[in-house]
Amino acid sequence: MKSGIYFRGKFIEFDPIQLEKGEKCYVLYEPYELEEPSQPDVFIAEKTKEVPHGSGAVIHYHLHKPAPPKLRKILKSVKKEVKAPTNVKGLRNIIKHIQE
Amino acid sequence: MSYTPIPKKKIVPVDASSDTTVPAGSAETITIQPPQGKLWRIAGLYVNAPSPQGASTGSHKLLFIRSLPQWNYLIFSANYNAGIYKRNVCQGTMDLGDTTERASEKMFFEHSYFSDSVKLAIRYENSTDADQTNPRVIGLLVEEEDEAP
Repeated sequence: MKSGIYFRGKFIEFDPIQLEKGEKCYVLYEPYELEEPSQPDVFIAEKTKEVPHGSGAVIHYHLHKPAPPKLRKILKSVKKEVKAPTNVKGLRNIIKHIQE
Repeated sequence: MSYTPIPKKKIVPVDASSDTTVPAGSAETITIQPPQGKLWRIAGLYVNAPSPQGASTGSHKLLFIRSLPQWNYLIFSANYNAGIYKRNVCQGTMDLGDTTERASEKMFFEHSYFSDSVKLAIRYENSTDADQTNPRVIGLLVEEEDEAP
């Protein structure tokens, strides 16, 4: 499984927990990760909530909706990938960090 | 003479419930990220996900997955007209008659360590034909200890 956004011909990979509330990214599953071949394999994940826990933990909530078939084709054909650092939060900061 | 310190553990209750509407055909992922430097393991579990109101076909599921890679997971599923209701106390399922399923659940819980780098994802999948507007109650009791440096 990989997750991230498509930006200027590249797939910027990052964990959906790095999103801020209201931001979205794509989540792509490999065929072996699906229970049935007919299941959708590309989703749009939207961060709906981030709840700090008293222990110091954080609970992240995301809603996943199947991506339109046309978008799935585009995302699966992207060859260039770059990984964003795990300590960068928010789409604006992730893109800024990749461009530097 | 060498001294092996006894690991210090504590029990932490975690409420990962959600009342977000999950549209038909969609899913919600709840990712639990323990504090840095801590190892968590599920010692107890309570889930209650009613069937989506108005659903007439399909099923809904609750999956417990340790993120990336998704090798270790547990699935609770029910048809569109049934709720998902589980109570696990100290790795023993109180609601199942099927010992095979109970054994695989026990195995999952025994090895369910997760951390800041290998998080626990709880995924609710609504594969029915109605939006899930009912809240899903998810309560965990986790055992916390210090992660090795």
